[in-house]
Amino acid sequence: MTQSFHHSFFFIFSLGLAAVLTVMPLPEAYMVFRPEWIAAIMFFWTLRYPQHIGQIISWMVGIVWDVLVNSPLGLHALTLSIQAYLVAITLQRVQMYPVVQQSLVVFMLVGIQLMVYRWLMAIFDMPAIDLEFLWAALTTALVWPLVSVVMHRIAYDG
Amino acid sequence: MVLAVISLGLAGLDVRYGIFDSFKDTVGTGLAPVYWTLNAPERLMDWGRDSVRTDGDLLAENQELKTRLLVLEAKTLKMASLTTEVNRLQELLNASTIVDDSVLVAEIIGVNPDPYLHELIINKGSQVGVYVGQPVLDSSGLMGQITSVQHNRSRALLISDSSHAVPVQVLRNGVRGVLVGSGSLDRLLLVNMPGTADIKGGDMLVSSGLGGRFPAGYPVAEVSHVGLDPGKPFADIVAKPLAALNRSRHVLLVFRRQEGETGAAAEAGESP
Repeated sequence: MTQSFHHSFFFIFSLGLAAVLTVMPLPEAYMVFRPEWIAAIMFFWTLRYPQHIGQIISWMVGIVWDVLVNSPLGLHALTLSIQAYLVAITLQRVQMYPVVQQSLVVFMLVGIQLMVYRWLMAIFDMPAIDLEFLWAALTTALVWPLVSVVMHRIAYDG
Repeated sequence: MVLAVISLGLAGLDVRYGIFDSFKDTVGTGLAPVYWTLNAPERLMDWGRDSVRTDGDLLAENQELKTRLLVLEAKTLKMASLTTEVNRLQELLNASTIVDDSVLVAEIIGVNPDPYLHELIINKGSQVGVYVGQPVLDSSGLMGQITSVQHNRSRALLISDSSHAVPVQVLRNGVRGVLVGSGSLDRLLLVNMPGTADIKGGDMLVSSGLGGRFPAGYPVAEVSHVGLDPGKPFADIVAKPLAALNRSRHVLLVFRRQEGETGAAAEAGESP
């Protein structure tokens, strides 16, 4: 359990890639379908390496995410640490789930994050005009098997 | 729980007082490689296209550009004489004179990924004198205004954002109104216009200069739909922005020259 974390480079690289995908320009019509890549990647790391990647690191990643997309500082930090907390308390079950069932968990976690985020954004005078933003929860759940398989392969072979 | 309180505290301080701007600037500079990676394929394409161009292509393009330059110069000359004339007439009326604004070309390096915020990131910042509230144009119309400035980049809110409004008037007859963003890139709403207002489909809306934020006379949008519902107090007027809000790669930042001023801002505006 106390082994050192030797995936630092890959951890940062995966988040960098997720950051690029997060700010990649998309046509207006597809923007609501953009998966929450950073949340998906952080789900992987908090699920697989809970002794190294926890709420504090998730919170820091969230701060960087906030700077990246110019949202009020702390909102993504809050939603990511909520995700880390929920992963931490359900860890033992979710780790054992088959990947499709994990997708359902991702769907709920990202859905919760999106709702908390939009609710807070509305408090800061930037309300969403409809509920289309919840599509991102579905698309994130759909890309989770891919993310899981690719990340797993690289993290364990590398 | 502690993290939640800290997060909300940070967010509140950030939104209301903006005390983390220098922190954001520092971290944002660290994140520059993300945007660099994003633009890399496009740069590579440009570079590839430029390096396989033949002499003939370049000569043809050069010729074409020269022709266009000539036409535009002729127009500018005519414009200059007209401006002088207008200024003389304005002086007779004791009104303020029209002075040409200088512009600075900037490149769009990113867009805000949030589907509900229409915001661009451009590659010019405070080091060349960009300031908050500065109007942003493209070659065909008004695009928006600068909302935050960092050292070498800044963010511009588009006129289509649902929190943006621009005072306009109809070019044909001078009827004034306020054009509000709808959150959709090709729809702007002219709000609070009475049903009797003289506005028709196809009318050009130009910035009126009221409010002092945008200079007067820049084209903003074209009226695309006028709906009159007797049950509603106001007419339902929709306009289409003239600027290519989602297609431009380059934008123009307007530096407003005050009367008689040839100062630093204006000079900064002319250097590329």
